[in-house]
Amino acid sequence: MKLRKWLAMLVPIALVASACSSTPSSGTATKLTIAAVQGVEDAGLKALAPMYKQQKGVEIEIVEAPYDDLYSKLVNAFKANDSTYDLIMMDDPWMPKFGTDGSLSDLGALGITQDPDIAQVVWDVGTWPPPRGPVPPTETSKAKQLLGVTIVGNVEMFMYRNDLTPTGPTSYDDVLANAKAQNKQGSVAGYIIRGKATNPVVADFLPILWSQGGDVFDENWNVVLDNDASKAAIGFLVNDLKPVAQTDPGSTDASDRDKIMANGQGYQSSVWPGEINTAVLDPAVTKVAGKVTFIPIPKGKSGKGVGMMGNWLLGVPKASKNQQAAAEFIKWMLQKDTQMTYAQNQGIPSRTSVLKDASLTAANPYFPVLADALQAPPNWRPRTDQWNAVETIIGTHLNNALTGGETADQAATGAAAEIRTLMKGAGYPTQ
Amino acid sequence: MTHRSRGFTRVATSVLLAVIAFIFAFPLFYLISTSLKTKADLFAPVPSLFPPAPTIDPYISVLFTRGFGGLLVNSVVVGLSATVLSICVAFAICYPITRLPASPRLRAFVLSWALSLRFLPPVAVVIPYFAIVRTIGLYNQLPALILVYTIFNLPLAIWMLRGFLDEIPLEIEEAALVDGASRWYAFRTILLPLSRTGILAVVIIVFAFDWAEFLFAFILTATPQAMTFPVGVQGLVTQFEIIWNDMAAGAVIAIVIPLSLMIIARRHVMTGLTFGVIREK
Repeated sequence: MKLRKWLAMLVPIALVASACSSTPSSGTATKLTIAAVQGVEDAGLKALAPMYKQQKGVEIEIVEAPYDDLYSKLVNAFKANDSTYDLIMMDDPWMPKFGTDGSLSDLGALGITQDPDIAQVVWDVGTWPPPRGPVPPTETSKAKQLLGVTIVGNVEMFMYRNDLTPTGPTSYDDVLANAKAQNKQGSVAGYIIRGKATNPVVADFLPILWSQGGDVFDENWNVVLDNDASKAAIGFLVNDLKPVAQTDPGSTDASDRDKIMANGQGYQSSVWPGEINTAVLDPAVTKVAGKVTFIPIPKGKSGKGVGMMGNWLLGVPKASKNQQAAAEFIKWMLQKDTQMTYAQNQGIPSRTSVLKDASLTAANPYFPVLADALQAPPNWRPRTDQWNAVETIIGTHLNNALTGGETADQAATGAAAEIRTLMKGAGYPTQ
Repeated sequence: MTHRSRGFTRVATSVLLAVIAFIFAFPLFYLISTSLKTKADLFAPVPSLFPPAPTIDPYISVLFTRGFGGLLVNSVVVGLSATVLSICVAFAICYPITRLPASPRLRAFVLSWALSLRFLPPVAVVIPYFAIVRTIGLYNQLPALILVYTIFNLPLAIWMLRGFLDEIPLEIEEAALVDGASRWYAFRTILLPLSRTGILAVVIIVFAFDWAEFLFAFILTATPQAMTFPVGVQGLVTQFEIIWNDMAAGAVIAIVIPLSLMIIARRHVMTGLTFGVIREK
């Protein structure tokens, strides 16, 4: 074909197709667009979408993005004051950023009220400024608003092989003792550390830190990651657990941990509800069906076992043109019958009565444990918009310690010093 | 050199080339192999080279279940539109500096300016582009990507086209002008057909760059209405799971189009890549 004919054909086709493909969403209440995290966390949401269309006549468009990308996309959309998203899924550590920036609407004003069948911590984690723990200096004068409602009740738990030991660990002393007893070089790891740098290793370590009596900040934003209890917790991870863990824990992420556990090559580890169904309980891949028990985080030297929240919340961006319709969807999602359907379709509900419903336990053996973990209550990550940077600092040093680049004490003091500098620079009264 | 040593050299060269070919081909082989595996195969303690029970489920998942077919269409639309625009603009710039009596200073300035655009790393301009796109209301729309890709690949198109146009003797066009042809007529009936090889090379190379672009597509889009295929494939790395087989299937699909074009027109592409490289008129 002659070049000019080829071009003459191509240009109009491309431009027409471009115009068609780029038609913006109508923005009417007949359709709601939800920005969601890609993965098992939004599986239940995807199952509910056609039901909502059938029952309420409103189409639900779910736009998925992976974890890190979703955060970037939301920040971009909020900066652009873009009305593309009517609802957003957000991990709870993102709340300080979006709360401080004023990107989300007050759900209380849109008619969403607290329900006693849902643990108080679920409402608290969606409230900004935070109702407990230290509050960022810039936020102390703001009125508390409900900016997000949990749709994935995610609290870090613990799992162990019940075919190797009849009872599970109740304390971190038990964890270590069992790990030493069960560790068989090259075949079974006594403990699986999720030690990949930044977010993964921090998510794995914080329950240990809190349970052992350590912390990152005190109530006045002073850094306490280098006090005796915190140093001991880091030492426990690096000096005690690492020798009985899998090879190369510094490069292990959640998917690697699940593969090790599902293949029967690990004895115990912490675990998020969101990752259980992807491997350990997936009949297509697991070799340990019925051999894994889920329990709350074991107790540490503090006398408590403190789980960490990783709840996924739904919020309504201020720029959405369908504020009330978006709030109605949240209300519908929180209804008990909707939550039952949600749970039957891989969703992780937050209603206590649904989590404890006996008809769901066979397929989701961790639900009752999760219900108790939410009532405990678990800790959330420090509520500061600097958390991403803080997490990167801690995660880099912990990973360094796990890979032999520094000692546990060096990791504690190095991270603490960097966090102090960061927080002071951000205007916090950190010492 | 003796017959024996010539034979040894030939064998050594063949072995070396075979090793290099293996190094280049193995990742592609493993990608295709992974794209035909099931989730259970991926969980095997020891990974297998060949899929134990090959399946096309990952391809079905990527194209239909996950709806990446729409993203593929977006990639094609953006790639073709931006390529056509790049070539039109590049022609508009190259024609005067190669066919008209432009001063060497002007010619050098235009070419240096074009090159300077290419020196900017994309990450340095992505935020300003984001602000501009947002201001003009093109956020999350395909025309934004078409414009940005056009701007970014324009220098490549200009430099390649200029190399080709320089090779076409001015005298042919001048003869037509002397015979009474207009500039447009001479351009359309003489220059354009003669530069067909060059245009084809530029089309394929610019399209390949547009096709593989990720950063701008990621930042400037929000929904599948405007997202391109690479953004979708990257999304298969989730917080708790990396869906390797679907990702590999996506990568194979992404490779097929530019690779096919490259194979079909490899002679022209090689010409395009080497034209004007060692000569300066």
